[in-house]
Amino acid sequence: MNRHDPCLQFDNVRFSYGQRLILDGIDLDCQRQSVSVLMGLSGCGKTTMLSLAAGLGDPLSGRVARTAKRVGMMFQDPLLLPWRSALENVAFALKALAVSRKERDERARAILDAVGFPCDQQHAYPGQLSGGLRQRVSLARALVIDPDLLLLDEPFRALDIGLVRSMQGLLLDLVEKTGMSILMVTHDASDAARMADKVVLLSAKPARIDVCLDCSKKGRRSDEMALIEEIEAHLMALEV
Amino acid sequence: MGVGVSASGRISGPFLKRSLFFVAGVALIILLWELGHRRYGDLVLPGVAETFATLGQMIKSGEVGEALVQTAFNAITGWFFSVGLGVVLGGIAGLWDDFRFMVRPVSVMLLGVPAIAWVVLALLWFGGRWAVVFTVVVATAPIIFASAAQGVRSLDNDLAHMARLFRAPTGSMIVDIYGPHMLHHIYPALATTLAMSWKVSIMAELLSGSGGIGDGIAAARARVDTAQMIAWILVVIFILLLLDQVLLRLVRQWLIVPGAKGADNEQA
Repeated sequence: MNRHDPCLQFDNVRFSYGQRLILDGIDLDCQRQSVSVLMGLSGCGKTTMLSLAAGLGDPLSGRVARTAKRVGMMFQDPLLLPWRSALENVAFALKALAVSRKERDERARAILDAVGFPCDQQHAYPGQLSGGLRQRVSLARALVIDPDLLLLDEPFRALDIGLVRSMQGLLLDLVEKTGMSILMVTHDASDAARMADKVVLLSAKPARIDVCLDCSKKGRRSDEMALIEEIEAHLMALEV
Repeated sequence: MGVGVSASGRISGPFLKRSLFFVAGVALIILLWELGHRRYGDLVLPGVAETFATLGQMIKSGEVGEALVQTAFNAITGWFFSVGLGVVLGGIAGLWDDFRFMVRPVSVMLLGVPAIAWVVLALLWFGGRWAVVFTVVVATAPIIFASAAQGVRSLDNDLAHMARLFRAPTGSMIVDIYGPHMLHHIYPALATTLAMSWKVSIMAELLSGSGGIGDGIAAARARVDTAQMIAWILVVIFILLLLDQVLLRLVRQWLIVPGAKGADNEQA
């Protein structure tokens, strides 16, 4: 499988909740070892696209094809089990795999370290953690399965800027080293410009792809600033 | 809060205050009891000292121990059957609406029929000890069933979606998702029905004459021995307090999730 093979494809996807059409004719390819970012106005259908990508729903028509074997997802809310510790929440994601409890705990501990989760809080329960720490547990749970495809729904919300940068660095490093593909939803143009190989802007409901920006050539600071401005200009145009 | 003895070994203020009020409450009951005795006499309300003396004799003769074992067997066997049936059927009903609609009339019927009517029917159907166990089951299982069904239904769908995304196996769904959620939800029903199973068991024993505390109360009534009757009531109160303060307290503490809403109140 080479870098340009798509690990996720939306092929003319339409989706509705009852009579309300949410997505209307979405075509999107997410290549291996790449970061695709979904942006658009609030409630336009970005999270719905992630749910379809995760296999948590079926389109009304069209096709969502995944070649990825392991799909990890960080939800908009952390969705942690309140009765399990941080470590157990991360290890939970490994229960589908045939690994011993010891190995589950070791892998969970290692990934919590990697996302900068404090060692002395690994046995704390979600109710005892700050919003930022809960986000990190949620990211660690998504990463612990070594996903081929990682779906992120506003992953850097409620995090300090330093931590955002270090998590972005970690994710880009994983994309580079493991060939993982990321499909991320964000409202922040600078997060998108920093991480994306491709930025997809969705129109207001029913969502269609309004603009698809290829960002793979970026690299210089001035390019990044120009990209942020371009994304923001498109977002402003959507609001009008 | 809730810790009676501080790290330095000294008794904390709130604990001492709570204990003092508890003792004051008990003293008030004893005072009213003694006043009632003096006003109405031995037949209506025997004195505190006389009642405790009767209780002492009953314990010494082995009457209380034997009755306790029989009632405990009836109540706890019935309660276990009830928990098993209620949790399994309630869990299924929570997962499948069609099953819930089918079982609901049965549950409503069981809840609607007074326990006393079940005792009479059970005596006709089974007789003896199993009539008592049966009555406990039919009186308590619908409560656990309703609570278990509601527990499963109230599970946050997003958590179930999350587990599905990570392909959690069925065993893990039960142990990590549905089980803990349901246990927190049905704890009040478990506590209520455990106490209820003793009361229903005693009532059924009283009518069936199959031994146990209820049978002891029936014998005391036949002899118009009010002191013995109140002594039996004291035994029941003691058992219910023991269940609440030892067994249920342990379960409550085990269920507390640190940081969860209400955890601090629970610990207190």
